[in-house]
Amino acid sequence: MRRGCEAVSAWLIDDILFLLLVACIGFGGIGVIGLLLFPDKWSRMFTGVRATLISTGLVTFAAIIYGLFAWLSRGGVQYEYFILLSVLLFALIVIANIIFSSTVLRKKEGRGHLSQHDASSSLQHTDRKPEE
Amino acid sequence: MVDTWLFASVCLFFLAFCAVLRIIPGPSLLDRLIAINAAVTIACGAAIALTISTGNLNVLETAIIVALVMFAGTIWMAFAPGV
Repeated sequence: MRRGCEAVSAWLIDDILFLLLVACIGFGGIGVIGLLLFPDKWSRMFTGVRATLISTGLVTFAAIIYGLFAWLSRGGVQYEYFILLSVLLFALIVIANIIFSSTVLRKKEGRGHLSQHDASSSLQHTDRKPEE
Repeated sequence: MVDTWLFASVCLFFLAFCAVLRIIPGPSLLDRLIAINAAVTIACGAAIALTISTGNLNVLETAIIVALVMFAGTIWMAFAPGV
């Protein structure tokens, strides 16, 4: 009976992992297609960061499920270490992507303010011209 | 039967290679940084899948070190005034 339950749960886990990996490849493909096809660099950055992050998150989630299942069924310290390393790598990826995106967007906003300032100053300049 | 994790890692490495190809046309430094960022992110996912497929934890440890170096480089380049 116990073996039967384990076989059913293993089958269920395999199916869940398969679906997660298919979704992961799909989101990775969306990210790369967006990176290759989108004309605007900001939309490219948005797609490249979001879709690839979702893809890596899905594969990390699948790896955590696999590690937990293997740890519960077989035991062993290596599975705990593997889960820890996977979570660490994903946290590193998320933090790095957030810092990168916020840095680039801050620079873009700064440039936008500068360009608005330039535009307004040039408008003022053109407004002044007729008075002069 | 094909190992699902190996198949996923091969697909993800192929996608990472496609993202690396985006570095060549550029044209600006920001385009290249975005492509590098996406390639490293996808390659890390591929490394996780490859670790399960091969059963070798050294793959994941190497991936963490490589990702740390690459992300530090891209963030440092993003802070540069030319971007």
